[in-house]
Amino acid sequence: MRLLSTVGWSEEIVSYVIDTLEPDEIILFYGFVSEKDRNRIRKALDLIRARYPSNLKEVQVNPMALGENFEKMARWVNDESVANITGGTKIMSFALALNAAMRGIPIVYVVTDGDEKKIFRVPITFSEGSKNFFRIDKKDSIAMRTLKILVNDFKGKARFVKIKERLGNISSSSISDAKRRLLMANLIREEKNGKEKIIIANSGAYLLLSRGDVK
Amino acid sequence: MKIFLTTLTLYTYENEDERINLNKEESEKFIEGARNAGDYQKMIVFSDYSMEEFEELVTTLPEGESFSEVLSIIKSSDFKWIKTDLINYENSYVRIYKVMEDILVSWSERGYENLHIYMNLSCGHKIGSLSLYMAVLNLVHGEYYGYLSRKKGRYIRIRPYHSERSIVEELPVMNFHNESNPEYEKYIGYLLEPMKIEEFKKAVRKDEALVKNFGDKVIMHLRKRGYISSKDGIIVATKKGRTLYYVLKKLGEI
Repeated sequence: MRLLSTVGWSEEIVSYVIDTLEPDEIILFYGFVSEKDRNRIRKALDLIRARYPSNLKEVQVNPMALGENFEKMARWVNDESVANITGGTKIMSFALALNAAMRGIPIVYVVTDGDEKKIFRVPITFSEGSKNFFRIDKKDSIAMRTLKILVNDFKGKARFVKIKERLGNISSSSISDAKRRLLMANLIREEKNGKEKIIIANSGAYLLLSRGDVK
Repeated sequence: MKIFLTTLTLYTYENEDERINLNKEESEKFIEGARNAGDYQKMIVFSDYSMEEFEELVTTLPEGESFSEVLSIIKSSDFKWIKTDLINYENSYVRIYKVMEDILVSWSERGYENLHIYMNLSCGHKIGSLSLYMAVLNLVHGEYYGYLSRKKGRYIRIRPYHSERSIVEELPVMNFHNESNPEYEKYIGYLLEPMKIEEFKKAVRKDEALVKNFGDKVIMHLRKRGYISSKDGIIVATKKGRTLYYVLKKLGEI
């Protein structure tokens, strides 16, 4: 079992999960927003490492950047993973929870009441069913290709006409429909620069595109 | 119509530095979140305190002053304050789902406006914010997908976001399921070693003799979620299934 855990100021909520689940491998996601944070989080990481010196990896993330968290965390999610989302910032916990939900692996969190701790499960999974704006598993759908072009070729920001060009010989109405679906899914946003339409990738785009890219 | 949904808490830790800092951040995130929603017609606040308890704490805590703008924003709008157990995912989810269900039923019956739901996920406890996000996505995808996908005359648009230190992070609107079924999941334990389908059905039938085709239902549930695989009439737990089984066992859920 591989435990993926976000880490903040508290060592205890991570150690408690490790003691309970006894994973073979531990991946800790951490990040700081201030110097004060750095010292406290470093201390928590050192305490965890001292207790569980083997098979432990630390992965630094920007605790305020959702897209980066989606990408970095997705590389560590495999079928033997469990996600503990108790520590760290909300951005980190959301990123780990959604990555885990996309892969259908268990998600847990710790509730502390005085000296008592209890682990609960968050039972969420992504549904691949028909009630989605587009088929995420179809990598060659126009919506998924639009996202890929926007993120990979234009670093997440492009004039809409440029994306149309890259998509090649596809009808304007199909491309507009894909754009509309991506907007409704809140995966992109649109801004106007004079008469030009600029498309910008939201962080959720990175969740979808990094799915299945596992270490 | 635009509605603004938000979680909100107030920290009462004994460590004064920590408490002041967290409360200052909480009030700033609320103000930023409300600003990001723009003009809204209704606000729903999900808090682990009742409004009276919250106002009482604000007057008691030395840093309570930082919430005066928060309360002023809330009181200047058409708001509902819902006391919610924000540190327990399941309790919070159920409460929020019910509140939002009532709002959406009334919206769909009224019948002419589009509905924009702005969801501020920056405040409150993270488990409470996650339950707000999941409850709304589940409800709308499950019961109102026709409006979400704009197949009906009017539509629902959802904007979930996290807003802090002037950085707005948009979250995706996707169909997540909120479900756990330990009654079926416990049977993964039978399949840690490969087993013939008929033998498995026979084994589980003993537990639920009155449920018709119980074995088939268990198999369908587990297979659909990737917890078991089958080949040539033999079924076995997958890596994903084994992991879930061990976790549920360690948590004492099965």
